[in-house]
Amino acid sequence: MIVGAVEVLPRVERNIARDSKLTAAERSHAAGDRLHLDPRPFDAFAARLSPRARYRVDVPPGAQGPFITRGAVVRAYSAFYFLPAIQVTKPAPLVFHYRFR
Amino acid sequence: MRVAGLLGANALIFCIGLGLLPWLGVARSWRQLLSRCGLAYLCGLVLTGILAAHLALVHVSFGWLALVVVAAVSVASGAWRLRATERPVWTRPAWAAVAAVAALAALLVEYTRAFAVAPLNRYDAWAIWALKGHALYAFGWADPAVFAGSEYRFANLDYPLWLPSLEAVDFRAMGAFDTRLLHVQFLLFLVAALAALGTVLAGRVHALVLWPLLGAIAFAPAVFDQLLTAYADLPLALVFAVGVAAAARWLLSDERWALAVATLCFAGVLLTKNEGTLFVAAAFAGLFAAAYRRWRPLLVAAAVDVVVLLPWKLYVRRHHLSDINYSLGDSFDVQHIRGRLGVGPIAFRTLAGEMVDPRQWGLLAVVFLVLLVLAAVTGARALAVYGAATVLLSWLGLSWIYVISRFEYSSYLDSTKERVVASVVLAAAALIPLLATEAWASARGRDRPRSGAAPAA
Repeated sequence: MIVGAVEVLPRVERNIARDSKLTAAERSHAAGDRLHLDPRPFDAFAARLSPRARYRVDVPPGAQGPFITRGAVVRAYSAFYFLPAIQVTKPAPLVFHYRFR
Repeated sequence: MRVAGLLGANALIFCIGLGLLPWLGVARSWRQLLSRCGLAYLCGLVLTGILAAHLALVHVSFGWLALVVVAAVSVASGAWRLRATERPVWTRPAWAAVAAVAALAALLVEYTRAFAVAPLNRYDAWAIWALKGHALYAFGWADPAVFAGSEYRFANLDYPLWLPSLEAVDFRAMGAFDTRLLHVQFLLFLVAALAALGTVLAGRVHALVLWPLLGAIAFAPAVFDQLLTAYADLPLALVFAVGVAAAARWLLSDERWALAVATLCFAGVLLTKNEGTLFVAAAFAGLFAAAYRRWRPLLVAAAVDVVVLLPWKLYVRRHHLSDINYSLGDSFDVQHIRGRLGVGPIAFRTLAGEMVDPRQWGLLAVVFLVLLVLAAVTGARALAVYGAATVLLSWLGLSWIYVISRFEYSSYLDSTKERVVASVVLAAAALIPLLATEAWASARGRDRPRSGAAPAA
């Protein structure tokens, strides 16, 4: 218990100090920021979506990571960020374009 | 307002669990209900998650109305079952218990400050769990457009829905997809598990063993870190640990209610992650090995768990969902296995290193190991066999997953090793007080520590 307390209590304080300063926008894009994704295209496209709207993602494959490519990461993040709109593979009226800089 | 919604939903979940306790045999009188109400919250969470997950498969949304109805039915039927039974009697609580509860409460309040501001930024948390929770909240059910959609394969679509269903219940209660307050639910899992573990072990172990164990779990850095990620591994581990402790109590005392609690917890584990099947299978293997003469109730418990898992397995089969990380069928792919057999020992050693890392888990695994040997040597063999089999089979099974996976093993191991051991370590930790008590009693040549003991096998 003492071993744990010595280790964990400073971590708790560090987390509080760091996370309590996050703005609403930073919190909303926390996952994308961690992946170094530009939040602006996501916000712009999200404004065009309605619940259950079908959309497709157009993104180059990008670099290969340990498990999936950067492009696959963008597709995954889009699926999360654009819910309750639904991502599809087949042609859709709405297309989200994302390019790596 | 959102906080009120979250806490209100959890209060109703507690009521669901409270009404369930008489049906599980945990409480046979009002007096017993009061003394064992620490189990109510976790049992309520597990049952609510199971109900919400199953209803999500048949287009039924689980929100305020369902919570109120199930809580009312549960409380009323529980009260009916306890009619004309012994009433609670006020007894002064022991000062040590009051001090321990106060210390734990202070720690949890401190944790709350961190959980209430944490961002949802870890991959699995948003890509798997929160995404599914959001989809259940938004669509009201496990809509195949998402839950079987090819574009969502990355979200481990074959993972069961217990955790996302509880997240969706929270979102409905809050009236929003709130990724910040969601973390508070994960802290509440810890509160529920500590209360449940304390109740399961109370009466079998001395308070001087019990409270330090609960403190050691609450203070374990990995518990704080991993709960804060909003991954499923720690909730899974906490529910599994309570199930393992309850099964151990049944092993030692033959109390049916303990096996009922274990069965419920194991059902929750099965419906949380696919790895849950491995852990539950390991626990049942340990129970059958240690108490083979009592195979009938064990078989019934195992059958109940299989039945609870069945609806999800049917959904998986119907929509042709498969695991993107590994396939158990690859265990028989001789070509594949031959090329990766060397991964097994590496994974086994790496996971061991994680389990005994004091900066992650304190000394929980080391103390368990010492007490396991002591219990075996002093004659408390049934518990030792059960503990050893559960932990060793889980550990071996996890190591095997790295062998059969198609991923490059070092990346896969590095990215998962810290969290996959959580269930093994916490299950081991949950057995520490019982092992210590049994070893002590056996060493002193006495019978079991309290009344109600029964032969182990």
